[in-house]
Amino acid sequence: MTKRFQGKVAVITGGTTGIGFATARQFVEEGATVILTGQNPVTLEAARAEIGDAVEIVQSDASNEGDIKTLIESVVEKHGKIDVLFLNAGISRFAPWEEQSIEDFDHIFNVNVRGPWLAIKYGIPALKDGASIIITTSTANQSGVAQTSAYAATKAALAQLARTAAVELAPRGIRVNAVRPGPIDTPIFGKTGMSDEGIKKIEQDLVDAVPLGRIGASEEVASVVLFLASKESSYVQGQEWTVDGGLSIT
Amino acid sequence: MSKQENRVALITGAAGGVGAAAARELVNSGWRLVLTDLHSEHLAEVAQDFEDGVAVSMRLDITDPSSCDAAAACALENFGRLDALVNSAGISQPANSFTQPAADWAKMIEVQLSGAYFIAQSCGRVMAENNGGSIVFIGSTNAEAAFPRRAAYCSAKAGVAMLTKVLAIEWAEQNIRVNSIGPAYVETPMTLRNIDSGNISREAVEKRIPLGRLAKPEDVSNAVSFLLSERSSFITGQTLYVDGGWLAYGYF
Repeated sequence: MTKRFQGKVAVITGGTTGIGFATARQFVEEGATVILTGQNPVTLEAARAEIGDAVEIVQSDASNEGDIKTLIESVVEKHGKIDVLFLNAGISRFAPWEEQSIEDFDHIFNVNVRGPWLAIKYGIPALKDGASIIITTSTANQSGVAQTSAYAATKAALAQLARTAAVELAPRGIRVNAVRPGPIDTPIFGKTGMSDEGIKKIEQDLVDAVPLGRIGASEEVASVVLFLASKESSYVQGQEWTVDGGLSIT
Repeated sequence: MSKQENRVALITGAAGGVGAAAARELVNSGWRLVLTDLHSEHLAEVAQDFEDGVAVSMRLDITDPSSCDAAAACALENFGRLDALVNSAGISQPANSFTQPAADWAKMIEVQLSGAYFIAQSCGRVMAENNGGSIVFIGSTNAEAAFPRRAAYCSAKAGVAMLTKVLAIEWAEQNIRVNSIGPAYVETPMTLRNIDSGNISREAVEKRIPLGRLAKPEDVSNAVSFLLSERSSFITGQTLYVDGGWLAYGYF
């Protein structure tokens, strides 16, 4: 069987761990040239060690305008185009509303919203007609979860970016969609500043709440991203597909 | 992508349009099929390209629970298992909401909503006794987007979206995933008849859709294939819209 992404160039932001990394692996298996970005030197190195030369790993700050421009320019210079842009980089800091710092709020919005907005802005000239943009949102974006005031709002904003871009870029056949994960076995909780014990409790509560009775695997989100990036979904536009084991439908 | 060797799917409304496209797509991926339709005389046309033994055909009236049971039993008799249901059977009949006769309303709800439930019941019971399975309803953007003169159709499709959620939660424990696909206009014989009869303006529809064209049956059958595969193993209770941007579009 021909590989679905032979000859295609895929750029993945926030690709060194979790969903981004699982997606990078699947793209590589299916023939794509993959450029993934990360910021943390430790996870960048770990990703390099694990996936080797199969992908290009670039240190790039997903909130930094200069870094985003440089990333796009360097991909175009080397590969001539972008076929798939997976805007997956995101951070979260959970805190009671009155305790969340303004610096945190700004940082979360800069990484999660301003960064993807800039990546689309500067990515548009580099994207081939018929290219596909996929944005990672979260089930937190349509329901109230205590202590996620900034994070959840950024994820709601991202869903709207996808809809607007889908309509605006449709004349070029560029498709824009979002993937909306529920509880997935990613390290994102470890980045929130919670204790290990607190994380364990949240994870057990989530398992109990998910109809399919388990936390999802990063690979189960990656396979949806690949579908949205492929020709098979050439009529899917401006949609946000939920991958949550049924969590958010009750 | 992995081949789905020897897995068995039952397709309703398989004689044409989305159902027939799904049948072709699934056979290419290695599925065995039970092809069903109220107008079963047209099923031979769909099955003629398939190798012997890959598909069996039978008449099904999804508004009749015993007919649904017989279809599920047909899968067991012929293939010994049933892994998936694709419910594509449907009808479309615009009507003025001041004057639509009660019988017409009832018929639409019976076929689109009750029928979806009855065939899911019959197939779900069989799947629960095995290792689970995947159910896909062909829903519609009309579960969300209102259309004039489609009171029954839109209400029924909104009902299917909710049916999808309820069954997903209720049958998750049996490892049965339940999802819908929501297309807007697909270039099927049903849609083309509506265009020919003036019920739908092709030009207006193409203008209304950001991607500028109607869906091809393959656009929908690709999504069916995705939802029946392990690639969607953490998706349940969802209506996945395959609509060219219809629902995202903000009118100006």
